Amino acid sequence: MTDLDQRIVRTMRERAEGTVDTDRLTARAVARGRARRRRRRIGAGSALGVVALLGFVGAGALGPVPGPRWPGAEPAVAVAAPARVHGAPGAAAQPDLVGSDPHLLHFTVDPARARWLTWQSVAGAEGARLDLGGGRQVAFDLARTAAAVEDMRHEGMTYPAAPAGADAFDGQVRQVPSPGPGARPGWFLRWQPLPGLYARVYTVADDGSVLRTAREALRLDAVHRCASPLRLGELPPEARLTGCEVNAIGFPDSLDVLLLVTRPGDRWMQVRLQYHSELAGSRDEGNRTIGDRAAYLYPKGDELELLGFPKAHLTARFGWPSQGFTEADAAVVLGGAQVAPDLTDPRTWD
Amino acid sequence: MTFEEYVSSRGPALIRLARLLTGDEHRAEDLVQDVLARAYVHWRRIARADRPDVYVRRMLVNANSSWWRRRSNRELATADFAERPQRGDLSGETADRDAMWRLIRALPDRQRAVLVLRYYEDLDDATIAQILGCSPVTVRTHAMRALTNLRERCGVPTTNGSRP
Repeated sequence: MTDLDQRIVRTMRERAEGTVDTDRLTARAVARGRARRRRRRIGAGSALGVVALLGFVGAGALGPVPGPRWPGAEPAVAVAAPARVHGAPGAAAQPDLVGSDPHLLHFTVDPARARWLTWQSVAGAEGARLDLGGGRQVAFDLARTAAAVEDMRHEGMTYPAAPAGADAFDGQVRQVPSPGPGARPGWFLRWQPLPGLYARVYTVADDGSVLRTAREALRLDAVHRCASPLRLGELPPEARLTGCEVNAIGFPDSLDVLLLVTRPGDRWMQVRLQYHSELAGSRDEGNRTIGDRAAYLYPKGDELELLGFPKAHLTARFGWPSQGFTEADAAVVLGGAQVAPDLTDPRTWD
Repeated sequence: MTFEEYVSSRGPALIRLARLLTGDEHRAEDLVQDVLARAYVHWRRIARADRPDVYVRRMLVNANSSWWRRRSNRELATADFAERPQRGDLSGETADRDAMWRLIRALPDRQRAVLVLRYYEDLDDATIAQILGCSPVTVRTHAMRALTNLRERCGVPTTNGSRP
């Protein structure tokens, strides 16, 4: 073993070491696994209830939602969706707006065919993960360049290492190998809905037929807000909001909101609100104070949490991999953060 | 082997692997929990595989790439070594490991994954190839590029005998 080999090994051993609470890891993995299985069963069992679920949500943050078109649908659980912005031009009318505002999504879906699971507007691109019923899910991305589309990632989905070029946006369905033994393959459909706009739908399934269904369910003639129960009322000097990602796949059991705050020079901070109905044992005592509220600076000094949200964590991460924000900046952001009173009721958002 | 038995025996190793892949302790735990939750749903099928641990580690590497790639593109700039520490100098050795870690973190994620699986997990190229879903030749290519990168940054001669 060479000197370089030994240095690599020593470095990795030092960085990997640290205690692991195996009991806690097992308990949480089992709890999350059970919740995941439960959601899959609900998804499969109530595929025809999707539109009724949308109808259940009603107005408020979600905007008007058409009534159920699928007969026999019964409401089962609350569903979150981004609110419609009426009168604003969609991507079809103004393609140059796509990816330009982290508060907005310049596309919509036919509620009779698809349900929103996630939505995001970040770094020049917009996207969503959609449930098309029957356990079929797709990830959709829209941007003004092929590279921006290929750069989009949806958590929990595996992507090929090499991005596709602009010539792959030709309306053809393509298969990619499965990510693991026994797993199903991935399928891409890329196309250009308008000159200067690039779109992609992706799924993991036995075949790619759902992609064309998804394409038909997508429309570019409406605008939605990147709705979430978290709003940042204050930002540090020179900082601005550049990204919004909302994951409501497990809603109302769980919800994950990620807002990206950046400064010139590619410096950024992640502000995250994570809610889970089974989250217990939240920290009570802080080691910092923001306004009149307790906060906790994690031992590594790169993450600050504002305490006091039952079953939820509100954090600002400002350390590696991006530098350029400080604990004081994080305190400004968390101090001005507004969190909806009921995270499980989208009508109280915004 | 039940799911609980697997997590009990292999969970700590997965966390340590995730710490090296993510470079972030909190993210590592979250990533492992997420992967294990997905494994839980398919556990009967995974447990029937020849090597369940290879399967789960593959899930872990892929999940990290999926989540991280978007952001990792933004953080490749890393300062070169200003000075080489002297042997026997404890603070120098610590600084050396810190600097080495910064260089490892700055590697593209596939190259970093190969180094972690080879040097920390001590896996052979065939197993690494199974985990990464590529050929052993590709593994060696990633390793060679990663080591070349580290040697250039560290000022180590390019032919120092490291396994390509």
